[in-house]
Amino acid sequence: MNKKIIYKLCLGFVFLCCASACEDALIEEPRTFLSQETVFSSRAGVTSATLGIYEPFREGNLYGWWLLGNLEFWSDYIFGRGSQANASLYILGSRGIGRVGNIWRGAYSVINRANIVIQQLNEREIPGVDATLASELEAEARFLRALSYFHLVRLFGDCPLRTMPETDQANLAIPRSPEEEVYTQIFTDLDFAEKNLPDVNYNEGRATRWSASGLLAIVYLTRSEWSDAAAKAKEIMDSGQFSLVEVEVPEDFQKIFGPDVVTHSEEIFSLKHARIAGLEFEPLWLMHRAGSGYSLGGNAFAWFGNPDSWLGDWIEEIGGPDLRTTDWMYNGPQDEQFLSAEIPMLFKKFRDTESDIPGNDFPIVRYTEILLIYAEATSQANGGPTPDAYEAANRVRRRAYGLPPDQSSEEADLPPGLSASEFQDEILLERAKEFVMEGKRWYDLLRTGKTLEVIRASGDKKAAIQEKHLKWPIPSEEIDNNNAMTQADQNPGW
Amino acid sequence: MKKHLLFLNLLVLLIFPWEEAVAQAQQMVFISNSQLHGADAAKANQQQRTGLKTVLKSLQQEYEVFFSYSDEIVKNKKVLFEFRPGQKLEMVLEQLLPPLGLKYQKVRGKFYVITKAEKVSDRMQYSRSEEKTMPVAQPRKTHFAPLPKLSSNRTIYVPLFQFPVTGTVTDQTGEPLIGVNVLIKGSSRGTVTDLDGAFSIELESGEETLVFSYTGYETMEVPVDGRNQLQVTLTESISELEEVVVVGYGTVQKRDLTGAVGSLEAEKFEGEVISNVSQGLQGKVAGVNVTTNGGAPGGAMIVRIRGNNSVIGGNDPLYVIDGFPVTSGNIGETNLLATINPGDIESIEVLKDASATAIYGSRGSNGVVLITTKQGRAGVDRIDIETSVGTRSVARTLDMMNSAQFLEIANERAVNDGNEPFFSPQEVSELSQINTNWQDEIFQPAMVQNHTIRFTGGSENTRYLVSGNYFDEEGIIIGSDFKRGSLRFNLDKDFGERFQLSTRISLSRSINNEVPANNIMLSALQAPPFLRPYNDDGSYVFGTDLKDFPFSPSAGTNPVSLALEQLNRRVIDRVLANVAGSYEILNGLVFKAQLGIDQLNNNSDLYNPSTIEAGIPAGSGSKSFGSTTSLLSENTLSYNTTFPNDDRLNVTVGFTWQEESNEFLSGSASGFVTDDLQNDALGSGQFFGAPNTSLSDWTLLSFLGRINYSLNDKYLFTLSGRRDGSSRFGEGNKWGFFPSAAFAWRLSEENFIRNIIPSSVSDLKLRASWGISGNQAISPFQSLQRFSDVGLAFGGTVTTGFRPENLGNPDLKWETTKEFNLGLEFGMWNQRLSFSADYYVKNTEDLLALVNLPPTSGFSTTIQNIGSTRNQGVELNLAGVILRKGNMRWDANFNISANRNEVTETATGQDIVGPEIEIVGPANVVREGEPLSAFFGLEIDGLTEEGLFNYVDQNGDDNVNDADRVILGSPYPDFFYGFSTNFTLGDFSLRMNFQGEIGKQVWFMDIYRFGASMHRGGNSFADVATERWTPQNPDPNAKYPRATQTLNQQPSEFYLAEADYLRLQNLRLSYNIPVDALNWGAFRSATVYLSGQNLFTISQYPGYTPDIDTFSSGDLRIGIDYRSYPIPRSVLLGLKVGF
Repeated sequence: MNKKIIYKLCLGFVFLCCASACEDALIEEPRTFLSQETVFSSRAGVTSATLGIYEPFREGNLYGWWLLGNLEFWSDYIFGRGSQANASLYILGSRGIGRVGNIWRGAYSVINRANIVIQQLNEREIPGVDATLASELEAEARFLRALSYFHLVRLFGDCPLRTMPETDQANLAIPRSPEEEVYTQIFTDLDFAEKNLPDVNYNEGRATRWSASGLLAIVYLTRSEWSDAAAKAKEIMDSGQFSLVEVEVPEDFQKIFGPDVVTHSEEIFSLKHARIAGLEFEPLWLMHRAGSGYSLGGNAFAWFGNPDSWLGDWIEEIGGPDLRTTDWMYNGPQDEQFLSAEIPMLFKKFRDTESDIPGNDFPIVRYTEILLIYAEATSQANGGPTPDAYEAANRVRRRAYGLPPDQSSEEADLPPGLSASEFQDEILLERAKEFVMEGKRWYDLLRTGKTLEVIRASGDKKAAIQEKHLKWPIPSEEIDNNNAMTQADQNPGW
Repeated sequence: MKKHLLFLNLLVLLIFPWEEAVAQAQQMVFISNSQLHGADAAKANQQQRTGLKTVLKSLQQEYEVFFSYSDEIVKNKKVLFEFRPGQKLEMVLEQLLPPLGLKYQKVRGKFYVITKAEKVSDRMQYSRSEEKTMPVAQPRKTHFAPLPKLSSNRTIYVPLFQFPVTGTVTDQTGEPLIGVNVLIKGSSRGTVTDLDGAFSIELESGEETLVFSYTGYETMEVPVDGRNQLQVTLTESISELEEVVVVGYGTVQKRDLTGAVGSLEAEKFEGEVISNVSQGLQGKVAGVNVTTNGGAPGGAMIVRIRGNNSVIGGNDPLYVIDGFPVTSGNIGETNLLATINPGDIESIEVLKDASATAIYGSRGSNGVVLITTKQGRAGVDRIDIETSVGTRSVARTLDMMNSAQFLEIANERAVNDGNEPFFSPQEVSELSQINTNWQDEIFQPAMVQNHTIRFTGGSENTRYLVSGNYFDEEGIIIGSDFKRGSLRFNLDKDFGERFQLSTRISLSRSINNEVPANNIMLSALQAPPFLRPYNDDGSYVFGTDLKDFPFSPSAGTNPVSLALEQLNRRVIDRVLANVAGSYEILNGLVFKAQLGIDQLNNNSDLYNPSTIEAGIPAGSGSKSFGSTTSLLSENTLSYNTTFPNDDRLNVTVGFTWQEESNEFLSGSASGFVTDDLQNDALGSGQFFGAPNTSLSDWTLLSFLGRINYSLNDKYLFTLSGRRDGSSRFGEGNKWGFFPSAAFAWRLSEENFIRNIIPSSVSDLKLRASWGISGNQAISPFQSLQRFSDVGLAFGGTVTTGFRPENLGNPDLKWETTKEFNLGLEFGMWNQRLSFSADYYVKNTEDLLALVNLPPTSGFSTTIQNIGSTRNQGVELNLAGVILRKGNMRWDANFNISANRNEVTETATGQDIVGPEIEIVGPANVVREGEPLSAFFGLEIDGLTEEGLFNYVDQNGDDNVNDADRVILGSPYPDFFYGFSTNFTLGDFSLRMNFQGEIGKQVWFMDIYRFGASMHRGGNSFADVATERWTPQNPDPNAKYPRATQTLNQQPSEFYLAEADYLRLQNLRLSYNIPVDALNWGAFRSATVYLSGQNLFTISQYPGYTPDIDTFSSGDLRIGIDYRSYPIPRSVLLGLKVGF
């Protein structure tokens, strides 16, 4: 009996030793995670991977905070508060530079995701994905990639151009490419996107061919390619797909910017958010004063207006015929208590009075912008504003005044007889007003070459801006870890 | 049958010569066994054979007799002993002793003396010339029986006697000692003392030395020097060399240790207010630096054995409880070790060098902490009750500005920034009247209580322990507390002679009500002192009202409502159970199989009611469930033998398998109409978060082996190896081999050494070891290219997207640490004074590091095997009994360690910058040639003309930027030390433990918000009021800068604070109530004690606690105090009674 036990135990021991040699137990099978192989082997997988490209735009590096914040407080009409005060006064320090670096990081994260999807779509036969769907998805990825490069090239100038994903850790070096090459890639991607994206996408918030057209119009405008810009804008105007949302009282603007709007008639491309933790439009806490009721939760009111800029005149009109001031700026008895000499004005264009997880969407291309692009580009292309140009601009202004957009109004319409440059200045001012808090002002100043002049004129506090601020610093993580770059590749002055 | 014998033969032959084994087996006493006792038993229970000493002890108890013998003659003797009730003691001893070359004599009544039976070799020294035919000369008075007959034709030598010596032996109090062994040195001849402590003996010349030995007392050598009359006083033994020390997969006598192992008996931390055992380690073991990331109840601790080796691989040691490598670390504020009742612990061993840790292979590089729980003793059923109640309070508060000062600086800041003063003179004078001490609002005197009942005992072949414990600790921050209830059941059962079953089961539930200490302290410290936490109607002032000034910081809330109203509860249920069966296949050959489970469930509840922040109309909450299951199967075969020449061999081989799986699920919702249900009805919320789940697992397969050989009791050899296969590593890199070798030389056993050192030296040992151990503590799946799901909001609803998570790295492999250790052990006066010194060098290679990637890759970081670090250091330990006289005893122990850490190589030679802290920026860097996570930032040369920081432009490019950052210091102390002393006078005893660090700097983050002259708009340290730069007094050397919103704030030396300290960690005054003298009936013992912890700290440090490290392992942020929960001061009264 005892011997049997001994025998069995010893045998058991030996067996265990041998059995263990079987390495199957050590092979890892990811459970919560998916492998690339799994993701790109089904229609649902590749679609989800395409949707995943959108995510970084929503996150803190881009429109969730730093891209939007920096675009605004670097411009003339906004200051930052607290830790963001310095950068809005052009005192950057390593913190400010690091925050600008976040934008670079976020943009390349989009590009990498898009590259993976484009590569996989081209290299694989994916069950359930036919040629049409494949090119639609590729077009969507290319659209997002173009949007990312478009930010990069405007903010940083020459930048590394990667159009294929790099998976080899030892081979990540890549030099900067000239701006022109980056634009070439942007045009290639947007052309592809325009040709292959559906007119209407399956789900609100996904790019359509009109998203691509709208972005193309902005790219042409940025490059002062006036007739192309005008033509592209006209194409969108003539499509009949879009119209201005009607406004009669200030609160009607919330049909565009409100937290529970799913879509609206002037939406060409927006970042979609929802009142779900993690899917919210986060910057509300940076815009609002705690207890204001416009955003719930611990608010920082970190971005506030500069009354020494054009904004100072505009807010004089609060309660006046331009309904935008009333709806978009803190005003009235309830708001006033939250303002002070130090924090003279705050913005409430984006607000959610019901949830501390704000669901406001963020517009990237709106129909008003197409109209204003058409107006500016037509005027520039023709050496002065045409009636068409006036009409496009006036439609935006009339709507802002709560008037029917297609009926001329003495009060709202731009004065006749403006020269090309006077007209452009009017349009720029109109854009400043219309796109308050939409992150477009800095780009407008850059493309018109008026940055230093305008900003220096917007009060002593903003006077520290220098030439070097026109091209933002490349983050040190890039220069340090990219063997194709040295400090000599940094933008001048940083 | 033949077949299996052959098989066994083969198996055994692999390990040792068969004949030897048989010979050895025949020398064993096949009586039988069971009466193992207490700690010795717990440690030695895998060896079927029992130490003779243990058997004798059990016989003493059984027959209520007393044996006297010299340690020398019983050491290393093992017997197979079976106790048969009713047997006469004399019969037992007849069976037991002669085969071991021993004999006994009954002195009187209950006293028995055991001596060596005469052996040939012993007598050769002094009467070499005598021939065997000589008749045996009968001494005049002797207690020796006639010489045993020897069957061989060997020579018998007989001595000559002519010098009579008499004397008495007493203890320190003058009481005669009965049955003391008196031996003539160098012979086996001797006698024992009688009832009066008297002895008499015949010597040859009077030049001999007599050796007096007695159990529990130190052996004493007395040169006779021609005297006929001797008075000998023996002192109580403090020898530790015979102690059994637990090592990986076995035990070893302390004298036989070849590695660096620190031991700590439970009594060393008895009576301390600790929720977990790592707090008890603080300052008590050389080379072990215990710090904390805060004093929150539940005790999250940071234990570093010989420094930080790893960048991200984790620096926590492996914890092994009763042979089970358990899941450790912290979940929230709760240290997982806090789920184990420290009162159940018998002893702790800390394995430090590679020769000790290599047997744990891939998990050994950060050291191993072996914890052994208590066990009952046969024949003595006992009930012990321990109870203590005490209070805790904050040890130090920070001086903050008062209202008048606050208002003055707020106005000055506004003016400095080109604005109008914010407060009018009238407001200033009104508000100055109100002064709220916000720290008083958040700190409370807290209560702590601990109650344990323990039943221990056993019969012949069954031993048990059953204990229950309740621990309840309030936090010194309002709203925080920790409670634990635990049950333990330890059972050992012998089935017959060779089969033993051992069970260890521990069940516990811990409930930790956590508070967001960082946020609470931030809010309290920055709150304007002219505001109050409550409105006049008793409701909370909203957080928004507390920061409703344009200069107010954006962070923070009402700290009181946050602490009291937020639900933040974590419940951890743990079952730690293992069953081990051991079977002695042949004498000395034991097979042991162990199966265990460590099941951890942790539930966390979070609810933010609407009362905390203004404007939130309704609350938000979440619930999460996590489960960790670790399964272990361990199979070892060990062989133990002592050769006829007293050489000892121990061989252990084994196979282990461990698998752990982790699951997590959480849900959240917000917009509740009522706070009443808190987070119990998430479905009633208005908005929902996406559910969050995770699942991960890992498997570790290992083969291990170790050979210990002791040659001549002088040369000790250890070889060990472990081959680990881990699922966490890439294809082709899954297996790692971790060998070690060690050698120790007991110099004190060498005659040529003995001749040159004083005879008072009782131990002198040199140890040298080398080995490789690993670190696999990176999360599973790191080597794979992974995608994870991400929520998107197309069309206003949740849509799922996938995103790439990382750059896959199939080349990921083991991080290994090669360690060389050189140790010296020295003892004098029979270990009354002992000293040990260790020098070590640890080189960690293939360092697993989070390496920055160029952002153009689309990723921030990747894990690579990159670079190396080196830790080298010295550990000294000095222990001694300073005074021992009568019933007075004073002993002391001092340890000091120095560790130098250096990064010898990093990825492509480039720096790895640590994560940011708050928004100031990173404070740590991994740079070649510098300590791991060295502090770095800008140097400061006073203040500029504008009162801003004047940063040093190191590279002279007229542009202060990141390129000007330099190494500012090290997060590690030059030295850390501990000092403990114990003074006993009769029934009173006083114990004190001090600990401290020298040459320590801390990155004091609080200065960002509270020392930068209201830069961020909150209240500031009181000295900001007087020592800041002002336009009126533009001192470039002012301690604090100008009050401005646009301070040029950067990581810099502004943050470094000197943090040397010396702390009275623990003080305990106890009194043993003499229950016998008082005739307290059933009481076996009773002790009352008063104990205090953290009673005082001597330090210049400006924050709450100098030895703080806010961020735990796995992070490059080291040495940072970021508003951690302060470590409390405690005082408690305790009572221990035994029945």
